[in-house]
Amino acid sequence: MNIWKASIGGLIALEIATLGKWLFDGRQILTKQQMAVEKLVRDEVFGTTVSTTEFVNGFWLGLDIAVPIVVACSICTGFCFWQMRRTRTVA
Amino acid sequence: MKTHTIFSTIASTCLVAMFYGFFPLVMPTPAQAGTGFNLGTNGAKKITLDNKVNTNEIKFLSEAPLEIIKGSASSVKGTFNFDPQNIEGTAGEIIIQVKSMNTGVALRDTHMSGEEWLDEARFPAITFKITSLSDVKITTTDASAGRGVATGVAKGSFTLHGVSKEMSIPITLTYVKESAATKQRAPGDFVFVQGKFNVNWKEHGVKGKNSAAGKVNENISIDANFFGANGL
Repeated sequence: MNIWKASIGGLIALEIATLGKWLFDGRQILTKQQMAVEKLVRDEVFGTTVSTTEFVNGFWLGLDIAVPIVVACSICTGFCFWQMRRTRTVA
Repeated sequence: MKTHTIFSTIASTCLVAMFYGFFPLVMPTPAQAGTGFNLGTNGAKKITLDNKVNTNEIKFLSEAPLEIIKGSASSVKGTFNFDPQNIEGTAGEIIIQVKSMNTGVALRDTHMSGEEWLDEARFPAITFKITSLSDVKITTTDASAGRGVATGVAKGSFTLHGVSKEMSIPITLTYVKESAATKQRAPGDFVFVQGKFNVNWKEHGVKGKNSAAGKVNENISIDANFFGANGL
């Protein structure tokens, strides 16, 4: 298999994975390192359910990181495609 | 005219006046009592908010087309006077520290505290001065648990970014008399206040960034949980 072809496949897969992760993480602008999670706890003294916010550590991809990745991958894909065609023409 | 005729005329006039409700106009009326829990408690209590009772927290939510921002403020302090027999007379102040506001993104928190947004350096606190409660309705009274729940509207002055606005916030108030269970957390009677309202940051003189258009809603939904006790 041509190395350029393999590279194009890898780069497109990376772009799709990045977009998928961004969609799955909630289509946010900024990448989050912490996510607010609401926790419901029954308080017997007050006889009611009380909600509290907890911040869970993690990584939720935002456009600030996703866009540069996709743009860089697109440029690289274009370069690989050009190289692939050039190699084919030379051969 | 005979004496008994005069007395009977006066008496019948009084009866007619009472029937039509005129009597209170001429008779001194006792001071109007407020709405109260029938839990055998007396007198106003100074309630101090404290996390020993449960977690005091303000949750805020901005839902804009491009971004949903969820966050909370953990530094909530304050005191208020509360009389279980006159809930309408509740008055006090609640203070939230801007620096304790967290959205889960460190850079965004820095921007939020910055000059263009909440300007924490000049206005370190958000306050709500409660002057009274209106439309108070008792929803639950559980004498065996020493607990009462009431709904009402807290009226007062809400100050954000140094700009105060009169606000009416619908609240649910839960009062719990001191018991063996409450003593395990903190001394005294407990009060839990829940309130939900919206704040328009532009009305409070917050400029914001033009680049935030579509990312931050003008109206921020606030969900507040305040827990306090009078023995602290």
